[in-house]
Amino acid sequence: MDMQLLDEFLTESAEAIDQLDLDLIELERSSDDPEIVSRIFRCVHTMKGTSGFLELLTLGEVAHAGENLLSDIRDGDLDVSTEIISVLLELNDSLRELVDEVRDGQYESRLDYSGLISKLETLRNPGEAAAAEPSELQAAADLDDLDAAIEEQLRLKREEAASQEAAADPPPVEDAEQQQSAKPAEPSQEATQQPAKAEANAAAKSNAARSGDSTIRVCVDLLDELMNLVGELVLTRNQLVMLADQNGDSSFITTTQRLNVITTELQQGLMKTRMQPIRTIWDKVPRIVRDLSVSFEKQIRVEMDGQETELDKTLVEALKDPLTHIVRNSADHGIESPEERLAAGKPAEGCLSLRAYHEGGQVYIEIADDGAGVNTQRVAEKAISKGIVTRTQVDQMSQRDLTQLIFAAGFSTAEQVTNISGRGVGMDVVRTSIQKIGGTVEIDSKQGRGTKLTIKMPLTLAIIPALIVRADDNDYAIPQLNLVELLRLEGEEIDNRIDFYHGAPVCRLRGKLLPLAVLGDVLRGERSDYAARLKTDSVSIVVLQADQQRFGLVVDGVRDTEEIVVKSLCDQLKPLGVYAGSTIFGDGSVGLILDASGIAKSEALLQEGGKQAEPEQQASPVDEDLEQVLVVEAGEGQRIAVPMEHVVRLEQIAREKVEQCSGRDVVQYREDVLPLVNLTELTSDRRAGSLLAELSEEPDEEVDLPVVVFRTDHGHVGLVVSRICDSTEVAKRPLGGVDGESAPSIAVVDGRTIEVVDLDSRIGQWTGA
Amino acid sequence: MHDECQICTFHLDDLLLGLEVGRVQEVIFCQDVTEVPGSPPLVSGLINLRGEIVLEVDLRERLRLDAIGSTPDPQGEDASPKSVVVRRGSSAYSLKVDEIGDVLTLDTASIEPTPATVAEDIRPLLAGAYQLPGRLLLQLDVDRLLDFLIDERRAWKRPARTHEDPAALAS
Repeated sequence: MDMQLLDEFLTESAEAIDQLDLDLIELERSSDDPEIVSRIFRCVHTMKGTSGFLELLTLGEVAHAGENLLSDIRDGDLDVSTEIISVLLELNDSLRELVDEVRDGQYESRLDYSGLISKLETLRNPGEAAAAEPSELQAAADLDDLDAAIEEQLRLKREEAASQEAAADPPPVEDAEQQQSAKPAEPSQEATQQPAKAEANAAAKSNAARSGDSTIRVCVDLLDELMNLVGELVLTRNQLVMLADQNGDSSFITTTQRLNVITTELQQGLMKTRMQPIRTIWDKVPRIVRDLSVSFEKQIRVEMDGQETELDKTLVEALKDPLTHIVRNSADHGIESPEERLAAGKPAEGCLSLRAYHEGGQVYIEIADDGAGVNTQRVAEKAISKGIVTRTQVDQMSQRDLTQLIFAAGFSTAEQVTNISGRGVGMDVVRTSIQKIGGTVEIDSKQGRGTKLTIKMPLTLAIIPALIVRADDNDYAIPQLNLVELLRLEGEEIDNRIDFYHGAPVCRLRGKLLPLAVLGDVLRGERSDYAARLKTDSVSIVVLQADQQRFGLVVDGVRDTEEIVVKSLCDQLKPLGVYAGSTIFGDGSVGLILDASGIAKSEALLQEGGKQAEPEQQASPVDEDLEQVLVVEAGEGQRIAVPMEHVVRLEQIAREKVEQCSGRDVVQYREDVLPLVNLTELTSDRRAGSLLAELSEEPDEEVDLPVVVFRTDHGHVGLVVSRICDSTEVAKRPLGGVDGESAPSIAVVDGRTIEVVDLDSRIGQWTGA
Repeated sequence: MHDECQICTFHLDDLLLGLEVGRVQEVIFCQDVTEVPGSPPLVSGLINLRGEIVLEVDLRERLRLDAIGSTPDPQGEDASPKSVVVRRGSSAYSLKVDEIGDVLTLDTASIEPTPATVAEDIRPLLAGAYQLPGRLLLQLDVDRLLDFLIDERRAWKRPARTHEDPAALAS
């Protein structure tokens, strides 16, 4: 057998089979589209013909049975039904199975497809049964012709072959068309037979022909090798650029710059050759979803956006399994049955949407459904029963943290183990496999509204942008992917912002507590002497994100960002867990690449060893109490704090703009009317006179009123204050000695006790009064 | 006729050690070593060998020479560090030594097995010894020498870490 021909057949068949899946699902949606039917028919027909030629008998037989059914559909003798589509999909699976077997060298399976073949036969209209006989004979004859045709094709004498054939064996009209479709380069003849479709087909074919001429298949190994070489080139370039900066005459510098540009272009060009659109794996999704919706009797629509988003081939491949898992999870656990959906006031048809896009040199992939969302209550119960967390920990966790629990190892919430998902290997496997390829995954879920998973991936693994930091006289690279921000604290700020939480240092960052670790010490696995470390003029903190956990690494200095070439770490060092790889810096020295999630883990380990809670648990109770507030001054120098989350804007409103309307002060603001509330009234519970009246007593007419615009449940409200003092973070607590609900919240700001006003209820009371 | 073999020799403290010539890729001088914090003492770091990142093993630590009371060679202190680069599988390793010696051609039959009195964990690392005039040449087993994996990250906790003063941490 001609191995090259076989290889070609295998590659083309694999592609055709993938396309068939999509076409069949498309056909189910638009059951009367003749274009799709004939596309499917052509595809199966070609496969039948070629497999006959290659003496792949079982494959030919299976394809032939499918072809007969398809021909009935195409001729309008049979209407497309879910049953037919299911069987055709089954046919496609069998074809795939057979093609895979041939590829694996097992050649012509021992598997029995007679069940499928008879299913395909019975689906055909019984009335057609008699007609089936001759058509089979025809098809057999057809098969022989095809062999000849294909041979001719291979000799690139397509026209000749066609005419010979036409002369030798003038087939019935239908067969002629079949023949046509088996020979993809015959636009002219097709045109005469099907004038209506001619144009589209011709266009498609010329497209195919063009791409056949301008593309070549290249072995991935060769690309890998080239990529390695470019990696070396990038390293050498980096070193040369550094040398030129230090001591170079102008012509050397110019040449280096030229080399710099060319290397970058070469690197980008080569990276492009390895890029594949995410479509290659997304194309499998409609099929998966379709099978699931049939077996669960759900209605699910798949929406895709950004199929052409490209990323490195190895990454695309590595993403396949996690993506399948996530999609199955969404269809199985996420989207509810039509009845439940209708009861919840949602359309019966659920929607699974996939979105991919590039941002900041990274690829984002979002998988969202409009299903029931993650039931955090159930997640918590499950996590407790599985011993992943304790009840006390759960009580302290935010909704968001609870949702993250589904990523914990050995967690699966499905109450019944279905044949689809829920085997207990759930999302932790997804996360691990995504992390393995340098990506991160986050989940965002609203109960009753749906779930969204966001996967963040580097474009490629070989060359990544990284931040170079210094610790204990060594340079380390941190992948940009993990980097959130850089902080530098100086002088007093160090004391003010860094606190110790039972010995563990934390940094106050915009109202949140950020656990800190000293890089040099973490790497050595030593407990730090924080007091000494932090008693310096300035502290540089690199804020990293790993596994939904943010933490700050205290480094000795931040050097620069650099494109680094990732080299694997030697086996002996892998178990250290804190390094993701190694690289060579511009100065030729070896650098270690830090593994952010490994560091986060090892820190947690350390702290457990030191009988301390994990940073996340210890941070959360404080987190919730620390609140960002705006401190404002009311009439008589009295200060109150209002939660920042309700503040929309700070405004200066000219007082002549204040109007009166049904006994209330209002101002026209942004094409709307904004009711004004005087802070003095609000705090003293006294209904003061009109603001206007009060204002008119003021002699100075030019004064602008400082107004804080709030968002409340009743719409926006403007709060008139005497002065806006400051925004700060406070730890609010209820005032003791006053019972329960009515106890005002207080906080100490700059040594003064001030009230933190719950504006929503206050304004509610005030407007209701 | 006896089979002969060529041994690349080198000095470490007062010992004369050797490797089969076939396993030695090259001898290198004075490289910038990047320290790998957290690794055991036997890992001296990573070096850039013409673009390849190579792990450097501190042979003195690997053979626990300080434990057998071996005295550092006074010359070794001044001389620039030298390394023997050996290859195992697809990766290269560098063995840090004091001084490179000659390549000796020896009779394979004259190798003596390692006596059982050598410490048990070190014994497998030595392939045997040749009696040279006035001293012994110990032949190393390269594969076993490199056959260490860092299993447990915290396995080499230094004593300083075991007794912490909580008061100092609370600052």
